[in-house]
Amino acid sequence: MKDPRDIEERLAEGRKDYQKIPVPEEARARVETGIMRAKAEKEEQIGKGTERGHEKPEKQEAGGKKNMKTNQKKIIIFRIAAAVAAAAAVLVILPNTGAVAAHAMGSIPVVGKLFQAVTFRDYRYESNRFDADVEVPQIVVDDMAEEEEQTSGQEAEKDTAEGQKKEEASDELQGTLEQINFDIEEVTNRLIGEFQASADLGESYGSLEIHHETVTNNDRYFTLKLSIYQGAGSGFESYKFYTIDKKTGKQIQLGDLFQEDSDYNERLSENIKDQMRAKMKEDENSFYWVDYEDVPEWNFERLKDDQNFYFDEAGNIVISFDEYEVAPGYMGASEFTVELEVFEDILK
Amino acid sequence: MVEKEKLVQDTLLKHYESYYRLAYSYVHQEADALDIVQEGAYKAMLKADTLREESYAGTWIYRIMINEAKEYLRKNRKEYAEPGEIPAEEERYGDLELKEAVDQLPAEERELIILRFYEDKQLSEIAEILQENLSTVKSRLYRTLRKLREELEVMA
Repeated sequence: MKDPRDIEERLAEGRKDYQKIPVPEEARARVETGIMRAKAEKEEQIGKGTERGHEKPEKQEAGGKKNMKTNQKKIIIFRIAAAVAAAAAVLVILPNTGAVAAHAMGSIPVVGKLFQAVTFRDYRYESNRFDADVEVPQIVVDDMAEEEEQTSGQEAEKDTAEGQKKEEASDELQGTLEQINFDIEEVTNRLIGEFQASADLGESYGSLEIHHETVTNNDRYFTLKLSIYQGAGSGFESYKFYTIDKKTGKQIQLGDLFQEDSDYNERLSENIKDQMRAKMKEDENSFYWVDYEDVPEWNFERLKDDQNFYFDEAGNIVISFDEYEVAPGYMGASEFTVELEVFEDILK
Repeated sequence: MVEKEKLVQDTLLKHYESYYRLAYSYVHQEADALDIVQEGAYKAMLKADTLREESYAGTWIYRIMINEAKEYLRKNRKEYAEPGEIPAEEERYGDLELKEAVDQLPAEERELIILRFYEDKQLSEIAEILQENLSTVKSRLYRTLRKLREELEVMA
């Protein structure tokens, strides 16, 4: 039987059917989860930005209330010292060599120090709907300078300028370690606090996992990777990388690796875009925001100044993107390896 | 910047049911539609600063949700039945002929119908949501209506 109504009229009526599509109770919670995740991520980025302005945590801490924080930090340092002592015996067994040794070239002021990440605190929680498995690492450096001098005495006598450089780098390194370890403490404390708060409330469900891994440890660089997984509904994984230049004792960002005014960002970014295109061509289930016309503002254009990266064993740079950074959520976090030959000539 | 974020958050929480239905109309699966709105809400919040004018928030979020839904379909297309083939149990009510005809439309025509008639959007808003110019939207909508009309003639 033919419906006598005109199509527009039928569609207007059809609206009522459409409105009957049941909306599950969970929908609001899921929207809230999306909102919270974005907020948490933004806060973290803001946090990163302000901390970086200070060389050492002490400088931002003056006055009564903040002194408490300083004291806390002192305790942390004290505990690191204990951890170093405990770890030292093990450390000696591990030779501090790497395949990128060729890059290290000649004089390395901080030579003879062993870099290691140790789990310094564990936090675990388990209930019906909440679970946490957190390892809080600290970077510790075991000074092997004495043995170094015994084995290659002539190096220490090379010249005094070098000796001074060595000392400066040592001081620098001390500050860098404090800064990084302080940052790790702060990030993990905040996440644990958030997790604990929602677990105490007992609403919905959640999980928190933080693990660490030493991804680079050659004669020149040490990189600690912190993997953070926050679950509530669907999970969100993010990473933080801390790289120390053993030569200067400073924490470095991607740009610090290259000569001033070099086109490193263009080179690396274009290389990565090509890799993205190739992957999408190869596998139709792969998707990256590159040449994406629907929402051009989401396209990956260039690397951030503080882009996560590390060196692999062959000296290639591995760029790490968080989930949602360059691809839709289902792609998860992604890594791209940029071959040494792409940037070798512009390294510092 | 913070104001925009607040605005986006309020809009999301106020209209989440619309976004869910819209997502559902693409995937016809509850779990998937939930994933889409969560993901869409996340992106909208993250990109809130890029919102040009506050009056655009409504259409802008629709756009994000629609892109998210399409993305989801593109990724999972193999796992989905042909549109209109197996309507879920709860969809078997009302003007079934019309539903079937709408479901069989290609996505870019179906979303026009949904936005115009079911979400009650103005043509200018639809143009903004879909990032098309107004005359394209108009002519496509009329073409789609003609098609639907013919389709329903045949089905009757």
